Amino acid sequence: MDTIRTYFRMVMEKKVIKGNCQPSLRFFNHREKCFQDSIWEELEMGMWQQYNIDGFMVNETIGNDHPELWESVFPYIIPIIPGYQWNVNKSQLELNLYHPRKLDFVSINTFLKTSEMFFDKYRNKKIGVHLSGGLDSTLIICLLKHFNIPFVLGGLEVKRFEMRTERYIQQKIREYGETSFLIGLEETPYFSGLECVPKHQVPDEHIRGNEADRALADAFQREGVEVVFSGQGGDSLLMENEKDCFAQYNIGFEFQLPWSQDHFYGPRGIELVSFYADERVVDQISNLRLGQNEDPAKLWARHFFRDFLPKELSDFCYVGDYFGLTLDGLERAKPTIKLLLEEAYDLTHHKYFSSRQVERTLKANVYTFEIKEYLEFCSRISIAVWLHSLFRDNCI
Amino acid sequence: MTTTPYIVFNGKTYFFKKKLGILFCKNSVLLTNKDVCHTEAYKYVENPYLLKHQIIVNTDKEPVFLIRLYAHVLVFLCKYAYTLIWGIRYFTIPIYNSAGEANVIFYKLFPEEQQRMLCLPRAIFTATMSKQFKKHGTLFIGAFLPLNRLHAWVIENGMHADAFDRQWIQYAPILEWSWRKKS
Repeated sequence: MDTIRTYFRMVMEKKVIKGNCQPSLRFFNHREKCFQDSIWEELEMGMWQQYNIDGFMVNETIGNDHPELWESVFPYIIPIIPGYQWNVNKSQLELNLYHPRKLDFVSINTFLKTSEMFFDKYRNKKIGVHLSGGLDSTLIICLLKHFNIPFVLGGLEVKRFEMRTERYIQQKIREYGETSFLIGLEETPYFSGLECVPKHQVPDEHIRGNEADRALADAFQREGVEVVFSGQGGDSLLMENEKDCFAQYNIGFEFQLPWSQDHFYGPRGIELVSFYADERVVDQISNLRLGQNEDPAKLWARHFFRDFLPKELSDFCYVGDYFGLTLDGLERAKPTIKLLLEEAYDLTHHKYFSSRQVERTLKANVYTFEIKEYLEFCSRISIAVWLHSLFRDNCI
Repeated sequence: MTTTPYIVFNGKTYFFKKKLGILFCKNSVLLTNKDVCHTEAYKYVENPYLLKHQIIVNTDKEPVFLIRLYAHVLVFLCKYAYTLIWGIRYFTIPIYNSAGEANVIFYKLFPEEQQRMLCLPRAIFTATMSKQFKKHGTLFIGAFLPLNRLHAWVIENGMHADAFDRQWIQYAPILEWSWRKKS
């Protein structure tokens, strides 16, 4: 009885502090039969206690391609994340896919013209570009250079052995920018600063790069940058394909970075834009690649754009593996994760956060994790981080 | 010449016991007078962009029975009698023009889904069957830390022998073997 009283006292004392609006999120309210931009009021009134944790974990295993199978996570609110839409007639969530248009004629010149039209929208702004050292962002940088558009370069540098090819390209390409900066990822490792993830309305998997996102956005802000181009989506556009027809793309989910925009760039007055999310760019590349197979090494792009790319990227297809880095960050964050999971148990008394589960999880050797175990672990962390963020002040 | 450079990573020292095929780890940074020396080919691992462009060698040669047997013996030894591998590497049968060609032959011998687990027998097969390996080749074994995964590959004449291998760059060398003496 005392335990129950203590539990309710704790829950009653816990007061949700409202956070900022997340412009990329929308919600459908079943009760009111309307869309709304925020659920902070409902969370303040205690709706977080009714969050369907089991349903969330099931949805994570179902994956992103079948939202119609997802379980509800709130009693009468449906979160609509970017890349998805609510079908009012069928009363279900659906993928919001983009179908590329068939174009009469495509060539390198039509692609360049499309790119130039894209960049023209931002000519009167100070431009920054993510410098990852990979093909996708380097192509954007080389196109900007081709059009003589000035820009600032900024990226994360990883000093690990498996990232040496990315480092090499970063060092080579950074000269293209008016100015450039590289932030060591060792200073802002993955899963660091979980206790300070910005307040958010639903659990989100993007908490992993919290500190790195913040550091990059801060650095771009110091440079006075107003718009940052990212290479997000390049993997999907340049690798995937259906041989005899166009692939369809979930631009909102795969090509954009709404979490980073809502929490880090937007509050700093910076617009984060994905070049590959532009529908005309998608049309061009889809038409150029029509009839090709899947291309995991992006060989087509390396050849097609060879006159613009550095020789290293057109002649070689090296890609560093971030998994080791990710698991390292996870291992280092275990003390914080322990506290967050314990707090989640205090709040929810859910079996996923019981002391036995927590102990078992933290004793696990993350370096032997297969992808399924890693994803399951991350799902639990994302719930705990979300709960923690509800009750504290925002950290921007 | 065989070198077994150690790797310092996250405050620990990793080194490879070649006769056991095991990666060891000491919870400290090794203080030793042992110089970390590398083969000449190490520069290609340090900067993969120095390598020549990989090509898939076209060969219509089909492996004869003895070649098949040799490949299967290598797979067996790597799995069940690893220590013997270090003797067999001197057992050269240089019948293919290059490591690239020998590599393609090995890919014909085993299904694609198995190849990922056969990197070491494939590398030894390639090294012992290439006419050029003695003068121009180096076999590497590398570790992907902190996952403790191992991988093996061959670089010959400034070219990676396996055009299908895209994961080798994740691995830091912990063993380098070539016929050439240290320069």
